[in-house]
Amino acid sequence: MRILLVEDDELLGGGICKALQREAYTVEWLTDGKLALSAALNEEFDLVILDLGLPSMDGVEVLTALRREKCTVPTLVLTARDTVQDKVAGLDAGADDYLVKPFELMELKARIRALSRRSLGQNTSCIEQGRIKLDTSSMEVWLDGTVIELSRREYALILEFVNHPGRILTRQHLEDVIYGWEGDISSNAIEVHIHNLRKKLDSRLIATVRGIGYRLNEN
Amino acid sequence: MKTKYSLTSRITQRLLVSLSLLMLCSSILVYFDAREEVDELFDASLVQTARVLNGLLTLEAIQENKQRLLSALTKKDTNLSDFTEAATPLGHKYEKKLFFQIWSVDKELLLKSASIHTTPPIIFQQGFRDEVVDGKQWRTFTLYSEKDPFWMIVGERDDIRTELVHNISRDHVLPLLIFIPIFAFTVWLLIRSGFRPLHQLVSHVKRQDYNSLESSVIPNTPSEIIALKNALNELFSRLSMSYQRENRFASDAAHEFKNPLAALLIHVDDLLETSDNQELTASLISIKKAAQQLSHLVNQLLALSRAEASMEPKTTVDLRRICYECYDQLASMAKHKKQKFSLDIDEPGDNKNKAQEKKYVIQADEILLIRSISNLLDNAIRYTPSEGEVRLHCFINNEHPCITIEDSGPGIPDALCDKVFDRFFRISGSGQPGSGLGLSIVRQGANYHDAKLLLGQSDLGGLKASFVFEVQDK
Repeated sequence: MRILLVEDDELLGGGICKALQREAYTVEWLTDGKLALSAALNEEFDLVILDLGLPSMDGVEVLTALRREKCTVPTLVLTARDTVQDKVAGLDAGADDYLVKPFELMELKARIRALSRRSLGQNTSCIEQGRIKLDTSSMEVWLDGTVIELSRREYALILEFVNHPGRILTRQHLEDVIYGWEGDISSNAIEVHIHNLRKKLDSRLIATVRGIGYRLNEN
Repeated sequence: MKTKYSLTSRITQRLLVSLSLLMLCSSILVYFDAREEVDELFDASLVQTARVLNGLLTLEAIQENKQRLLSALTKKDTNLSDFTEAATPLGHKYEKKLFFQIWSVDKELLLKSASIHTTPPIIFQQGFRDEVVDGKQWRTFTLYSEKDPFWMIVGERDDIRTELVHNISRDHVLPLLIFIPIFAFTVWLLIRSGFRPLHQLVSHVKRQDYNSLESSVIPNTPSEIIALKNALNELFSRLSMSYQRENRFASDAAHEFKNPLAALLIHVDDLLETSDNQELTASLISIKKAAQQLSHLVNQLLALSRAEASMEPKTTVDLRRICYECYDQLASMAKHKKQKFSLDIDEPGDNKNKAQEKKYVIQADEILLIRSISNLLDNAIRYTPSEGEVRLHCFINNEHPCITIEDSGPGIPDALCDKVFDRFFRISGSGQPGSGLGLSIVRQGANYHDAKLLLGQSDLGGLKASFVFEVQDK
């Protein structure tokens, strides 16, 4: 899952980044409102975490501009302002959820899971797709009821497949999801992860669509 | 310092006092002036009477006609008291107040009118004199007739003049006395209507809310009040500017405090999740607790400054819902301490009509009210030992909506009951973390909602805190 974090506070942004990356999320972190708007419009994200107090462009303006451009990415607003009017203004501008600073990491993660579930039409943290069962809160994966140990990136990959069953995911898309804007990815990194996944799960689960990408088989 | 007086009554009073003084002066002047004029006139008439008598009477005629003269004078005098009316065809009762006597040169009384009985101490010297005869004050004039030598004295009771002067003065003062109350009332009315723009200004200023200070726009303001109005309007605009600044400061401060706090919490959480060293974990938990206390303090501080600025507009709020919400917020905390935590709401009796329901509905700042009640509940749960009891009760007493929070904890000593509402006041040795601001917010909440906040002894053994709201208009 790829998350765009827009937060101008270095300490807070760094902390959120680090904590979310350990949860197997790919986090892109921007500190400027205008840059964040163009990134959100031009690239594909599963979630935007948006601070309201930003330099150059206010968070509410970013959000309003995003929604005007028909961008429906789920957005979680972070803010220090906790009056009802502030919350209403944020939600009315198009936010999907609202978190008042200071917050606890557990709550932030729970809200991110809730938002991504909602955007995918699920209603519990457990996703079952064919033989695979996946708990997004504990990051556990089962195959036919047996727990499978996966690395952080392997988990992120299988989550992406489970969230889009039957759909062909391109190599570029998977690279974005797993690595984001990290620079030096070896050319066959995705192939290596797919190979490992097939080994740990079942080789027939992930099919290669020649020249395009990969797809999770229905059974 | 009590300097309560009304301008209207003060001006009316002073006008009345000075008017009364003026009238007194004028009456005294009139009295003395009249006295002088009356004296002059009566003296002249006295002299004239003497001269006429002198011209008519001769010693010879007196001797010849003495008997006739005397009987005429006596007859007249005996019937004087019969004349009930002042003037009758037969005479006048005032005749008794006039006399004349004629004395020979060898000081023998030749003729006298009967109106006085004693003989006045006659001094054979011409001119006016004031004398006391028969216990009454008389004005006399003595004349010496040279051609036919005898002394003649004519006299007149002094009270004739006094009475006349009194009558003149009374006729002067009476209309004035009737005029004074009418004058006072008119002045009072005029001043009242004159001060109306001032009253309008006062009621305008009274209506002002700290949140939205409006400039006054009373039409037809007199020049004296325009200055005051302008000064007030200027003050309003300055106040509202500083209010906005304060508002901004609170929200800026929130941002400035909350970002580093959020960063601190995130990093500590992050470390806690990865730490497998027990010592390190214990330290991290301590840091996290401190950070949580700090963020609680910041939140309370902001809530208090916001409550004091009364920033939020009032909305229609049902107290029962507030109680449910506060109960939900704190139920888990009480459960954690194994306390019996109950919520009682007195529902309007069997006759469930709309009016009964409405009694729980008040105009309130919901957030401040919830924070006030939950602060009290939080304190109750915090200070009551495990397995104790905490009760939240919402009811109507004498039409007043009330909320009480009771516990079986140690309570607050009477001596500290006033102090606990002070900012940053904490009862030492309680062993509980806190900001010392919770009850200040509660008091502010009570003030903002015009509610009475009472602390007392609960049946449960601990503290009983009550909110008594004003009776709500329909």
